[in-house]
Amino acid sequence: MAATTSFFIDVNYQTERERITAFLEKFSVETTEPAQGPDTPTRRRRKPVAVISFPYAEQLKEISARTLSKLEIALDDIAAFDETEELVHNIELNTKRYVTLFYEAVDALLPETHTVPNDDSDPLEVILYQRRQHDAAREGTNAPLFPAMLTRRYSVYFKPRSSVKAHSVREVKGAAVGHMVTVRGMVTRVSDVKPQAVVMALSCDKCGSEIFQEVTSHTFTPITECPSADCKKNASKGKLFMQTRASKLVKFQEIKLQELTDQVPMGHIPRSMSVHLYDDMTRQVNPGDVVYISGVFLPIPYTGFKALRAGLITDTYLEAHHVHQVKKQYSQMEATEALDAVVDSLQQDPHVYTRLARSIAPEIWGHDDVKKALLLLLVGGATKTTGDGMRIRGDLNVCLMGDPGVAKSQLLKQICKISPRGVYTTGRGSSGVGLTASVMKDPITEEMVLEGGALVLADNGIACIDEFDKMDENDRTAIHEVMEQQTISISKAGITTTLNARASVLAAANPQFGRYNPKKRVSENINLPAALLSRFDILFLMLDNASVADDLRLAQHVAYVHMHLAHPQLEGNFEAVDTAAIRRFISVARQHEPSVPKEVGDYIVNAYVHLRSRAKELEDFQYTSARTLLSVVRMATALARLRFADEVDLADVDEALRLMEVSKASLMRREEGPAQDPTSVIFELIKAMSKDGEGRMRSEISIAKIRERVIGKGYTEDDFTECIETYGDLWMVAANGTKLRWVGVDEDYEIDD
Amino acid sequence: MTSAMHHHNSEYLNRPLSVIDARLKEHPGCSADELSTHFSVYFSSPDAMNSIPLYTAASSRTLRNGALVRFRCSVQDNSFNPQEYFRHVSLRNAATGATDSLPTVFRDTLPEKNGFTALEPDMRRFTPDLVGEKHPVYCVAIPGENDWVRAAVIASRGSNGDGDAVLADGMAGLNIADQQSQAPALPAKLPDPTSPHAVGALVKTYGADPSFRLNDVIDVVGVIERTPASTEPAEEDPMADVAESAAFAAVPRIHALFYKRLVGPALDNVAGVVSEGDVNMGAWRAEVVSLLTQQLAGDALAAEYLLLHLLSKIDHRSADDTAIGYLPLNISNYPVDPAFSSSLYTLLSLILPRSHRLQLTLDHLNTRARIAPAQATADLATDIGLHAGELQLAPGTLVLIDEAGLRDGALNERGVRNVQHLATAIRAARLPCLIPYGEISQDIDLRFLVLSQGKCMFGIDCIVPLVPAAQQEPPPPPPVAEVDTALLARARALLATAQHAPYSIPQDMVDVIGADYSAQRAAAPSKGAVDMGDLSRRLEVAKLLCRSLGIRELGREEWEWAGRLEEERRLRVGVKKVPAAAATATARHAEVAGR
Repeated sequence: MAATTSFFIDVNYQTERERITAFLEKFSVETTEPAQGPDTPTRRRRKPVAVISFPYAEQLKEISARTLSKLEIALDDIAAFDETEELVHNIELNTKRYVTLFYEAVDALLPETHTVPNDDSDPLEVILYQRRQHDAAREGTNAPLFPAMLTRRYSVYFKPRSSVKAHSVREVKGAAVGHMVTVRGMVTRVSDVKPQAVVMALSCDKCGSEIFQEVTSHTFTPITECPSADCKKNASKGKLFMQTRASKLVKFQEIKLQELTDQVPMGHIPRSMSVHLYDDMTRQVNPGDVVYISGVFLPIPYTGFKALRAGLITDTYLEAHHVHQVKKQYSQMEATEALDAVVDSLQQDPHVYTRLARSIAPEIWGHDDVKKALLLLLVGGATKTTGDGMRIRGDLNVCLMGDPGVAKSQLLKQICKISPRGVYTTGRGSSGVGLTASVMKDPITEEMVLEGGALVLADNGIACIDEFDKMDENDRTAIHEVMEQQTISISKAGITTTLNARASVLAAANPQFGRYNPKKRVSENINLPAALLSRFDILFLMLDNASVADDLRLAQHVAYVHMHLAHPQLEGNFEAVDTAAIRRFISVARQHEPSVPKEVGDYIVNAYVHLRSRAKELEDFQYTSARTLLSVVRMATALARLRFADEVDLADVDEALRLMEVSKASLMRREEGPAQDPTSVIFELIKAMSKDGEGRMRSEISIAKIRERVIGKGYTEDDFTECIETYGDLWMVAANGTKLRWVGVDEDYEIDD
Repeated sequence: MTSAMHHHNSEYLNRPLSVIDARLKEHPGCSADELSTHFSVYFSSPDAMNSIPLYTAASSRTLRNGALVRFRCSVQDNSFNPQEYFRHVSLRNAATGATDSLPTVFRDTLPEKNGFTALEPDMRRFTPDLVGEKHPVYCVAIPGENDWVRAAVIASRGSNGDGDAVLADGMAGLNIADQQSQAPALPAKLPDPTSPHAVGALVKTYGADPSFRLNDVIDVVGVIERTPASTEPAEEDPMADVAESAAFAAVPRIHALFYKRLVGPALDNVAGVVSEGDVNMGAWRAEVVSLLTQQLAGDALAAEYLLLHLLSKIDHRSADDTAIGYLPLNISNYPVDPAFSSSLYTLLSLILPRSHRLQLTLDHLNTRARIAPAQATADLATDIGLHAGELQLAPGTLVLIDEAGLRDGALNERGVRNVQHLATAIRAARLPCLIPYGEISQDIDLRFLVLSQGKCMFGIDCIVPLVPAAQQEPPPPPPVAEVDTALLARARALLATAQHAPYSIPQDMVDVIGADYSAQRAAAPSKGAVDMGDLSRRLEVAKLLCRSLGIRELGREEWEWAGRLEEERRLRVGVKKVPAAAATATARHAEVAGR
């Protein structure tokens, strides 16, 4: 406490005022643009040299001309003006006092107006003018001066230094009383704007003199007896009447600022704080806004009866000086030096790509390629707008499909946390309306208002949709538009509009039958229509396979967690990059808009042609189309962004193609994987036997022949029977159990395998 | 005890504020922390501690204003901002011009002093060290605390400090008890307003922010203060500045001189934790299992699981939000007759320090219940902060949910929300907390026991279908009242001791576990294979088995035992095809459970 209050000691307010005056008059900035409009005669000749302007002196001119009512003093400017920073410190620690000092200094600098009021003049001007004339006529009267507040036509606000740290409501403690603090929070309640008296004008019914009473607290008792010399002399006890038109009333609004959920420690409930807004500060915020509010933290002492009841407690509030609305986007995120240092060191790291990818949900083991794709999703590709105004999306869409319990949901939630605008929703939990937008009736105004759903809220962010497969068919159609055009068209209740939904979609889905059934074809397992699938840039299959090595590893991991009640050290002492740093890195990366140079373009085209030629073998679940080409370009540009490069190089394309390949391999492996159990081997055998020399499928095959081959291979009769039963829906036993007939294979029908 | 000493003691008990004032006069710079220390040292012995009268539902109206009280309570609401107060208030006598300065620490109101009025502090001379901070939290008597625990606390006080004698003397206090009706003040802030023991108070601590978390249990000693009911008309402006909502005027405040957080064993120590070496844990355990078996229609497996469930507590929450040690239990196939569940609950409430029976009826869910605490958005004049949720219970409380009470019918919006919140709480061990513009959740550590006929409506993995010993309709359970009190005491001691016992898994067992798991995975067909959940549960069961037996390190034997228990349970549930070995032993059960 002693350290902070030391600035109060020995402060000579007279010298402080002089410093303030000097600041207001002399503070200058260099600008390269002409400070005044081009029509000003003196500035007609454009000079490229730096121009020195005096921002505050100019603002004072405007105030004196009544064209400006708000004088905002940036504390950054004061810090720049006064190198000792003593004045800034004093202002920050004793703000209320310094507001008064600034008023006094500004008052002294402003010229007094002596113009004759006209019909448009403010009633107060008229009164002031008349009063002055009246006083001038009566020499020698020492009528009380006008309160300075009454004649002021401006208000002074401080803008906090840009380096100042924002607090949460609970961090603002008693020690901060009287200080300038910046609080971050969400506005939950906003009062009506009401007038608050600053100076009350009262006039006497006996002697006619006006009395001005300054109001300094929230409650006041108006004077009832005329204190003028006339009335006192005559003991006439003139009654005073309030003159509303001559009083000075300012706009006043009170809001409640509540802590954001990320500021609330575990086991606590968000706290809130009242904030008082005056004059120009009013009507700046709405409920639900996330804002930074800087102001003076002040107590309100109680008086009167209240003092007895709860007088020992004072309420506190924040008198707002500066309001800053927060938009959570990468481009508007604050950077700290520490974070930038981390980003710099990351950029030097040749393995930054792998390292960042692994830092996504580090406690989830493995799935490196999936994480790489998710990192690219976070970074996003470059958006391109073609000459005719068509927009080609740069946002990547990723689909994770897999067995229950392979940490899909956790990956989604992690991505949601890392992204500054991540919205997590489930296909079940939100109807099409909840995902896109709905038209609602406002309960208070009874107006129809458009309320954005999850995808609109995720504009410029990531929409993580879990249980994508459980979504209704109707709701899914709404997604089609979002995923390619990135807009949502609404035509409801007389409102027709198109909303932006420039969001990446990260979807998680379970296979058709709950678990992936390796005995079924890929397309049967994936329960999504091709039109939707093609909109995903990349699709990963994450399966829960029994493999001795993985199981052992997993069991030991689980046992370790149970034993030590902590997660084991990550493999190879891998040090995960923390979320804030990842976010910062991505925000820097996103500032780059990489382009594709000619030779890289050719390379991509070649690769695409090659992919198309191989398309047949993959047509089962995803065919290669122009969209594939765009996906490769998107991923390649995202990779270039990760290098902070402005051009895509061949390595980026190779990695993009590799990821594509891997994602397909995760599907292909299912088909081609060596079948080990007897049933599968027998099935493969039957399939092979069904083909004729040219690879054509025969519709029927003799069971006796198969049995002969199966027994010959060392399998039992039981194995054979089980195989016939297991694949019962693919074929039927015909001709009195002597033949096996494939279902859906005509004589001349060819299926490709 | 000498008479001087006794007088001294009664001064501390009856007029703690005058003791404080005297000390402040002696040492003018004395901080609130130093005063706290002074009192906590004075009352450091258990005897001295026991001499402080308890603040309870019964005594809340009779305790004299300004006296020292002790409140064993749970934090219901910590959403209040810290309150600033001027350390001294200046008074002036309008007639004589005499001034006086009074200390204001550990109180919210000043006694009236004839002819003196309080002066408004001079804000121009304001310096931050003129003000201090107090941190209010709303506390309620530990919800769900069972009668035997309460009786034990009162008994431990012995003949010390007779509450009524304390009442008799002292300065004129504002006794408003007579005006109050018998209903507890602010029922919306009580997790269970129907309980006769429910009572609340606004506890204010001085000095650094204690950062009490929601549902923390604390043992507070402080000065009780009742403020006179407001005679002022209600504030017209709903946004008017009130440091404290007028709604709290009817609630006593307790200005905490010192407090102790009750966590882990300290919360349960009334049951008398015993040393595992001194007693035959195995024998005690067998007794308790048989006691539970009687209540569960003779089903030993269900009794075994119930015992393990009663010992479960969350040891750790891992980074991916899974709570290790959490084992909610669903006993399905439970008799519909409410006599069964009532009898079981009576027994459990006799051996557990805290329990709560959640009424799962349409009426309760639709009209009365509020499962999750909620911050109201209504107008400020009636703002009481966080409305209590029924699940705002102290850690380790058993919550018995009986689905048998549910009948066909429709849930209204409130009912649906309640069920959703209950389901979330059970599944994730996190209680949702409704706040304006969002929802946050609190970690909770409650033992959820769901009794149901079929599979329960909440996502509980550990299901034990009840298999009555007799093939016919199970006979009603024996009356709990006949249970031997010595046996009850042993059961309490076993539960209190075992749940906090240390436990570890030796490295060689880790290898065994890994090998077992991969062998199981390799053996089982892909459908219905054991997965990570099964492995975690078996580890859980093994840990609780060890604890219940007083074993501190997992051995092969307990691991196998846990495996057999799980095998039998899974068999009853019918998830898995029967491996030949286990099939014969439990074939009879499988038939009965048959699904």
